Amino acid sequence: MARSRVHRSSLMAWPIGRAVLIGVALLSVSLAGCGGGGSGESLPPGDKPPRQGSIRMVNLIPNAPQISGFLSAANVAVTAIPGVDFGQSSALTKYLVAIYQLNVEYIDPSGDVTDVVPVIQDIELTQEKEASFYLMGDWAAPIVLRVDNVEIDFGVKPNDNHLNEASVQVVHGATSTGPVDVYLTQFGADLSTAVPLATGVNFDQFSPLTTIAPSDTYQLRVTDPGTTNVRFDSGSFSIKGFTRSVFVVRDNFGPSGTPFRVSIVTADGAFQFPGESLPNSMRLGNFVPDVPAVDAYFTATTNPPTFTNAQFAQIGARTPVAAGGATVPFKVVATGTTTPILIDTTIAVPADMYQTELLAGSVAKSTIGPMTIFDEVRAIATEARVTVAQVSSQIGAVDVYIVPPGVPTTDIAPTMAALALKTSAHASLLPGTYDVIVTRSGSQTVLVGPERISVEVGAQLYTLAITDSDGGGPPILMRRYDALAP
Amino acid sequence: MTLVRRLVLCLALVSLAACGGGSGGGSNKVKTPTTFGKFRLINALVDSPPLTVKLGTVVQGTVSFSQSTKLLTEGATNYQLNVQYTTPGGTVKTVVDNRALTIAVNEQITFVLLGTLASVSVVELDENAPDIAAGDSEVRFVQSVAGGSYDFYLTGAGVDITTVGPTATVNALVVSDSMTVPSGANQRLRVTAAGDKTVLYDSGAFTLDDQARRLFLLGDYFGPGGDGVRAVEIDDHSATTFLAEDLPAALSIANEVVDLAGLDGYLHGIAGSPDFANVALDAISAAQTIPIGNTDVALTTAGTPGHVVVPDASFVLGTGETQTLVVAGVDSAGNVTTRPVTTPVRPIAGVAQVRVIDASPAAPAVDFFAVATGALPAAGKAQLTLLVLQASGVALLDPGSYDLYFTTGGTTSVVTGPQPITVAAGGIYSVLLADQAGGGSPVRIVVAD
Repeated sequence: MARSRVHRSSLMAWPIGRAVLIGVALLSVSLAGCGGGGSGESLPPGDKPPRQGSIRMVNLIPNAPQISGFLSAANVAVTAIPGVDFGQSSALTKYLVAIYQLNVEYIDPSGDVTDVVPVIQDIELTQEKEASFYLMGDWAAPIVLRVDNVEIDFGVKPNDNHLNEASVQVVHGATSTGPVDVYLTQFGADLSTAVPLATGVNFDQFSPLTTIAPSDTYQLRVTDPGTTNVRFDSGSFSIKGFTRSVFVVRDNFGPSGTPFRVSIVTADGAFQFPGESLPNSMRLGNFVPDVPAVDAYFTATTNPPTFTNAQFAQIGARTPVAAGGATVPFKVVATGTTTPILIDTTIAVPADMYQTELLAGSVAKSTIGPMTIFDEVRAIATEARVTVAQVSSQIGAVDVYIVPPGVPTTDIAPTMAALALKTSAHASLLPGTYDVIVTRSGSQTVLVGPERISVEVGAQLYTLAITDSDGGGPPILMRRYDALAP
Repeated sequence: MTLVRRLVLCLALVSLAACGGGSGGGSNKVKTPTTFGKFRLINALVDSPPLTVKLGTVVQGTVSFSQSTKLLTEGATNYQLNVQYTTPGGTVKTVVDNRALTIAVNEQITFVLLGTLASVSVVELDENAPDIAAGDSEVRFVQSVAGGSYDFYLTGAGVDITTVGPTATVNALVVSDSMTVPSGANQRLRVTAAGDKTVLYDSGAFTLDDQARRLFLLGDYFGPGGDGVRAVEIDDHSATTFLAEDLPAALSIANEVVDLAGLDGYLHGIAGSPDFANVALDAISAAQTIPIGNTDVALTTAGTPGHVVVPDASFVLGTGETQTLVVAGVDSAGNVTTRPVTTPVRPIAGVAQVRVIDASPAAPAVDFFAVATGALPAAGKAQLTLLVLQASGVALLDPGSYDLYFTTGGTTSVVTGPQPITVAAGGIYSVLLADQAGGGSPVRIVVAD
C-alpha cells in the first residue's frame, strides 16, 4: 500500500512512451502560458487552451476549524480555495499549468492568519494532473497526504468508451481507526466471496485508482483487515460513467458513536452516501406563536407521532429518527389533533447526524414551515461556534452583531447579515465574552440586545433563537439554548 | 525517476522559467506580501461622533469615540488621509484634512486623534512590523484625558503598586514610547494621577497576548462610578473594555405601564423599601449605581408590594454600562413587558442624541421622524425604521426645534404626532411611543427627559 506525503504513483507507473507524450504536452502547455500556443498542436480533443490541471483540498482534521488554501505561482494571480470545513472537500478546480505553492491557512474569527501546515512547495501542475491534498491528523500536528492522479478527462477521445467506465480510489484519513479493508460490490453481495477494492489501508495511505463499470446498485463496506466484520456500510448508491469517486475514511462524530465513516469525494465536493442507515438524532423546536403545542410525524398521522406536545419556544429532547435522505415526508399538527395538517412537506434526514428541526412562522400569516439545523457537536481546537436562528414571525430579516464588549455596532459590519425568517447561521468565535445585538437588517433599529454571552472551546452547542414573545407578537426576544441556556 | 521523466520535468521548468521564473523553492508566502504596510486610526476625541476614515478616495471605515479601526493592510505608497463626519443635517465636517501619509513596506502606522473636535491633536506612530520575543509583548499608553499627567502601572495582578514605580508616566494628549513587558495571564493595569498612588482606574486581571503589540488608551469616562477615566485595550482589530475592570453599572426604570400611576422596583426581592420608589407613568427614574452581573428586578404597583406587575426581569449588566429598564404594557391586560435599553451618557459636540423607544403594545411597526417644525414626514427620511414593541434606536439631531412623528412602518401615514421638541447641542433625550393612559390607541409620544 502506498504511503507518501507526496505521491505520484499514477504518473510514475506509466510507460515511457506515454511520459514522452506528457513531456511534449507540458512543453507546449508551458509555452502557451507565456502567450504562445496556436495551431498545429497534437492535443487530444477537449484539451483546449488555456492548459489547466486540477487541484482540490480536503479537510479531514477531526478537530479543525474551517481552513482555506491559497495557490500562488509566478505570473499567476493568487487564487483562494476558500472555507473548507471538516469532512468537506473543495471542488476539483482547474488551474493554469504552473509550478504552484499552496499555503493552507486558518483565518481565525478575528482575522488573524496562521499556517496549518508548512507551505507546500513545488506543485508541478500539468495538464494531465489532478492533485488532491488531504489534510489529516490532529490539529496540533496535521499532515498532508498528497495524491496525484491523471485527470479523468485527459486524453479522452470522442470515440472512447469513456461513459462505460468510472474510477475509484480509497483514502484513509481517520485518526480513530487502524487499517481497514474496503469492499465495493453490488448491493447485497456476499463479502466472504467478494474481492476487496483495497486491503490494509491505514491512516495516511491511499489505494491506486481502480477502473470499474458504472452501476446504480453499488455498496461500499469497510471491514477490519482480513475479516468480513463490517464497520461501515454505505447502503446502495450509484456510480455514473466517466466519474471518479474517492472513498475517504474519516473520523465521525455522529450519534451512532461509530468512530469513523466514509465520505465520497467527487469533482463537486464531499458527500455522504444516500443509503446509509444509521439513525439520525433529531430534536424539535416549536416557534410558531399561534400553535402553542404541536405533534410531528414522519409517517401518516394515523400512526403515533414522532414528536409530541412540542411547546412554544422549547427545543425538546433528541430522539432517533430513521435516516431517509433528502426528502423525508414531514407533517405537523396541533397537539391532540390530526387535522388540519399545518405543515405537510419533506425535510432532509441524513444518517448519523445530530439535527435540530425548528418550526417557525405563523399559521395566521401562512408562513409556517420547518427549518433544519445540523448540529455540530465536534470539538474544534481553536474556536466555538454559535448558531443563531431567526424564527420570529413578527419581523423580516435581521442583522446580528456579535462583538467584543465595548465595540459599537456603528463601526462594524454585522456578524450575520440579513438573516431571514426560517434561516440560521453559524458564527465562529474565539473563546471569550461577547455582546449580541440584533437589529433590523440594514438599520440601527435595535430589536434586542445587547445580551452578553461567553463561549469556550469544546463540544458544546451554543444556540440563540430570535423569537416572538410567548403568545406571539413583540417584543422580540433572544432566547438561549444548549450551553447558553440560563 | 526515469531519465525520460527527468527530461520532461526539466523541460517544463525551463519553459516556465522563461515566463518569468518559477517559484520552486521560494519562500514568498501568500499571506505576507512584501509590498504592503499597515494603517489604523484611533479616535480619542472626547466629544466626537463616529468618524469616517478615508485613505485617498477609499473609505476605510467608521470609528467611534474610544475606538480604533482595524490594523488595515494597505499598499506601500503615498496617501492623503481624510477624517470626516457628517452632521445630522448632512453637512460634511472635516477633522483631518488631506494629511500626507506614506506607508512603507512592512511599516505599521497608527494615527491617534486626541483632544476635542474643536481642537484636534494628531499623533502619528510609525513602527516596523512587530518582532517580539516569546514571553513578551510590546505596549504603549495613550493618554487622551485633557489637563493632567497620569501614571500607568502594568503589573502582575497581585502587585502592590505602592511598592513599584509606574510603567509609564504620560502627559495629556501624549502617547508613550513603546516598551516591552512580560505577556501572559493575570496582568493588571492601574492608573493614578502622576506621582500619586491613589488608583483612579483598575482594569482587573486580564491576559496580555504573547508577542503582541497593544495600546492602552486612557480616556474620559462618563458612566457610573469610577473616577472620571477609563482605559481600553486596543489590539489589531478594535478597542475593547476590560471584563474585570473595577467599575459598576447603573440602572434606571422607565414606566409605561399605562394603567398604573406608579411602579416600585426591587433589586433584591420584594421586601423592605423599593430600590426604585414610585416611578411615575411616563417618567424615567434617576439612574442608580449597582453592581455588575446578573440583575433581577421585581416590579410592583407603587406602594403595594403585594401587587406584583413583573415578578422577575432578569438580565446582565456589564462594567460601566448604563441601562434603562423599559417597563411597558397594560397591567390589567397582563401584557407588561420589559427590556433593558442602553442609555447614551457621553455628550457629542454640536449634536443632540435622541434615544427612541417603542413602548406601545397597541402600535403597529412604526418609523420615527424628527422634522422641522411645521413640516411633515417625507418618504425615505425616517431617522429610525420599523420599530416594534421594545425596539429602540438613537437618532442624532442638529440643535433646534422639531416636530416628532411616528408613522406606520415604511410609510408616511402618521400614527401619532406632531410632538414638538427642542434639543440642544450635546443634549441627550429620551422619546417613547406609548399607549394612551389606560391602554390602547391612540398612542402617544412621550418626551421623558
